[in-house]
Amino acid sequence: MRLARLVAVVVGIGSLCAGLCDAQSQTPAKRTRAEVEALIRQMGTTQPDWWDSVPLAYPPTLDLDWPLRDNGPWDARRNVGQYLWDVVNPNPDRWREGIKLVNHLMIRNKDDRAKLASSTETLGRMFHDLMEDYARAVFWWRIAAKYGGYVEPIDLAHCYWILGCREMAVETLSQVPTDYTRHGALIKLWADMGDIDKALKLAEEKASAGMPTVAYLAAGDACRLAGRYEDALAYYRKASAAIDAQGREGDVKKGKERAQASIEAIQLFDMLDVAKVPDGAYTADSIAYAGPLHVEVEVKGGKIQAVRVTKHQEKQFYSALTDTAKQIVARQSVKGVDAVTGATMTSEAILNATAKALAGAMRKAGGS
Amino acid sequence: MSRDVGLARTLKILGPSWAASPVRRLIQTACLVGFLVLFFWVCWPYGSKQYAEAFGAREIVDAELFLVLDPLVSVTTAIASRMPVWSLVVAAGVILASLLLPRAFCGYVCPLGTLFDVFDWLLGKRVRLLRSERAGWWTHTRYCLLAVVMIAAVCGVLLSGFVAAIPVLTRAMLFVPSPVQMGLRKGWYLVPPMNAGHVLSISLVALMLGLASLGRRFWCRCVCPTGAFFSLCNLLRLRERRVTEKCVRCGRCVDACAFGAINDDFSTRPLNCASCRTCSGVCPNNVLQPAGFEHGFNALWTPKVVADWSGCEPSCNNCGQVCPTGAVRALDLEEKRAARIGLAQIDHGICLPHAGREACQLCVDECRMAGYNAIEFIRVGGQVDENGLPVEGSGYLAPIVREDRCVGCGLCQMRCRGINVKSRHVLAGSAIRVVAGPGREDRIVSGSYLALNEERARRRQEEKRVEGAPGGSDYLPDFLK
Repeated sequence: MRLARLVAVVVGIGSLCAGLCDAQSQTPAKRTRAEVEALIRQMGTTQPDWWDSVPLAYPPTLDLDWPLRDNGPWDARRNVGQYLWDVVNPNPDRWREGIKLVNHLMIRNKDDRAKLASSTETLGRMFHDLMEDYARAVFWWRIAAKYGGYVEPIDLAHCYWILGCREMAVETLSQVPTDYTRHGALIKLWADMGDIDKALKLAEEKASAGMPTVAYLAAGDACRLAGRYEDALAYYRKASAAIDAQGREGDVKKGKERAQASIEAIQLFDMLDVAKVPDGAYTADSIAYAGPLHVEVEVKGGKIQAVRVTKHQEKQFYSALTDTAKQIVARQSVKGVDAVTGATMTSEAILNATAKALAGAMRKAGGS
Repeated sequence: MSRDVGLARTLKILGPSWAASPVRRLIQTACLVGFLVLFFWVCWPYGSKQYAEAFGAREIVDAELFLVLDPLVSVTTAIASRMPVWSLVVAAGVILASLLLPRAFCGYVCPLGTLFDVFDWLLGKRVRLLRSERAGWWTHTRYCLLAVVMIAAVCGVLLSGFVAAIPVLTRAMLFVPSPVQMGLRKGWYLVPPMNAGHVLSISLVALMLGLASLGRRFWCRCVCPTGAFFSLCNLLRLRERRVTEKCVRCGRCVDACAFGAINDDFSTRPLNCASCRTCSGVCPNNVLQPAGFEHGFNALWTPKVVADWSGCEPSCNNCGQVCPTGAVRALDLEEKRAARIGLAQIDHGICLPHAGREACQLCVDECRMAGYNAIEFIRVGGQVDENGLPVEGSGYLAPIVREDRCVGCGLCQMRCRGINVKSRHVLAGSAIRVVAGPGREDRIVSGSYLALNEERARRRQEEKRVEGAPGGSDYLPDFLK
C-alpha cells in the first residue's frame, strides 16, 4: 500500500514537472491582431493535413441523430457524447477519427440550429483540448457562437494568448471579472500570461467565495511557475488545509492530493540545494521499469561525489544506470538531466531516487 | 632443418596426434574456437537496443553455421516436414566432401568431437578405471539410433534434435555455460528458473561426459547418429585411407586413432524444430525458453515464449535468423512486427482499473512504447451527475486490447507481472496474458504477414463500418463557407 502511494506520488511529480516545464517553454511567438485573425481564417478554412488519410469510423450502434440530451442510461456504444468521453478522449490514436465523426455528424444534422451550435462547439473543444490546434479551435467556436452556442471566453482568451496576441486575450478576459471555473482556469491563464499579482488576487477572491482548495492550488502553481517556491509552498499548504463550502467533493479531494504532490515535488526538485546537505552517503529508492531501483548518493563538501545504483531489476540498458548517474554528478543537480533514449523510466527512477535521498538528508539536517 | 626438428619436438610435447597430424589439430582448434566465438560473442544479444541491427553487424559468419553443417539435422527435418530446407544444400556439400574425406566432419570440424578430445586429454585418460577400448555390441548403438531417427522422420516426427551431434552440443551449452554467462555479465536474477527439461538435459551432458571416460570418443564411435550417418555415406566413398604394405606394425596408429578406425581389423511438436536451442541463445531477455514436459515428450526443449518472464522485443528478429531448420521463420523486422504469435487478453476480474481497485496503465504504456499501440483505454465505473453528465475523475481508464493490432509480443504481460505481481504484490498473476491458438495467431509458412494484416483490416472495415467513403465528409461544408 505504501508503495502504491509512492508510485502515485512519483508519477504525480513527474507529470507536474512536465506540465510546468511545458508552460515555461511556451513563450508564444508575438503576433498582431490582424496576423492572428488571418491565421484563424487561413487554418480554419483549410482541412488538417491528416484529414484524407483518416477513415470515418464509429461503432454501428451509435445514435447518429446525436440528440442534445442523451436518452436512457449511460451507454457509450449508443450516445455520441458518451462515446467521445469513454472511448475517443482517452486514446490519442482515436482523436482524429473522433474529430472526423463529429464533423460528419455536424453536417448530417445541420438543419437543426441547436444541434449545429452544439456540434461545432464540440469540434472547437476537440481541436483545443486534444489537438492543441488553437486557430481551428477559435474558428469552430466562432461558428458555434454564431448559431447561438455558448463558448467559454476563458478558453478563447487562452487561444489568443497562445496564438501570440496578448491584447486580444486581455480584451476577451475583460468580460470575466471573477474565476467561476471548477479548476481555476482564469487564475492559471493570468499566471501563464505573466500577471502573477492578478492571478493571486483572483485566487484570494475565489477562496473567500467558498472554493479555497482549488483557488490556493492555482495560486501555488502560479508562484511555482514564477520561481517563487516559498510562496508556492505556503499556498499549497493552505490548499491542503482548506475547508471548502462549495465545489465538488471529487475536485476538492483531487486538488488536495495534487497540492501535497506539488509540495513534495518542490522540496524534492525545485528547492534542492546540495550545498545544504551534510557529508555522508544517502539511500532511497524509486520504481523503475521492472521494479524498485535503489541508489546511494555520496555527498562531500556540499557536492555530489557519486551516485551509485545499488540494486535494480532492469533487464536492459545498462547505459542508463551509469550515464544518468554520471550526468547528475556532472551537473550537480537532478534538474536538466537528459533521460537515456529507450530507457526513460530507468533514468527517471534514478533521478527520483537521487532527489528523494538528497531531499531527505536536507530535511533531516534542517530539522536538527 | 634443426628448426623442423624443434617444431616436431614441440608438437610431440603437445601429444602424439599433434605430431602426427598438426593440420587436423589446427583445423579442429580453429573450429572449436569459431564455435565458441559464435556462441558466446555473436549470439550474445545485448549491447544495443536495435537488436536485429546489432546482431547483423556481429554475424560475419552465420551463427547457425555448425548446425547447418550437421547433415543429419537438415536431412531429417526435410523428411519429417515434407519440405525442402535451405540447409539441405549445405548438407549435400558436406556429404560430398565426406565421400572424399570419410568422416572428416567428425575429425576436423565437429566441435563436440573436439571437446571430447579435450576432455579426454584433460581427464579421461587419467581415469583408467572405466576405460575399455574393446569394441562390443554397443558400437552399433549409433546405427540403431540413426534408424530410429530416420524412421521417425519418415513418419513425420523429428527426433534428430535430441541426439544429433551439433544440437546436443548447442543445447548443452545453452543449459550450462549460457546461464553462467548471463549471471556473471548481467546478473543472476536474469537467469530464468529451471524446469524438468533443463535437469534432464544437464543430466544427459553428465552422462555424455561419463561415457567419454569409457574410452576416447566413446560418444562419437558408439552413440552419435550423425557419425553413423557419415559412416553410411562412407559406403559410397571415393577414396579412403588404408594401412599399406609399408606398415612396420609399430602400433602407434592404433593408439592415436580416437575412433578406433584402425583396430585389430576396423503433436504437437513444431515439425521442424531440432531443439538445438540456438534461438534461445540469441534471444534478448530469454523470452524463448525450453519447454519442459508440460507439452509432452515431443515438445521437450522446443522454444516457448514465456511472457511472464519477458516480452518479445520489437527491434529483434534474431531467432528466425539463426534457426537452421526453418522452424522459426526468418522474417525481416517489419514482417516480424506484423506476425501475430498470440493475442493479449485481459482478466477483467483482476485488472486493477477494471476491478475498480486503482488506476494503472502499465500495459498501455508498454504497448505504446513498443510501437504497436494495441492496448487502448476505455473509461469504466464512471459516475454520472444529476444532469446526466459524467463526473470528472470518477471511475478509471481501463485497458482494452485492439485485436486488429495486437501481435502477442507479451511485453504487456511481463510489465504487469514485473510491477503488479513481483514488485508491488497487488496481484497473484499478470492481469493481461498472451494466449495463442486458432484465431489468435497466424503462423504462415510463406507469404507476407503485412499483406495478411492488410487484407484482414480491409475485411474488418467492410464488415464493421456503416457508412461513409474512406475519406468521410468534407472538412468545411459549403453552407459554412
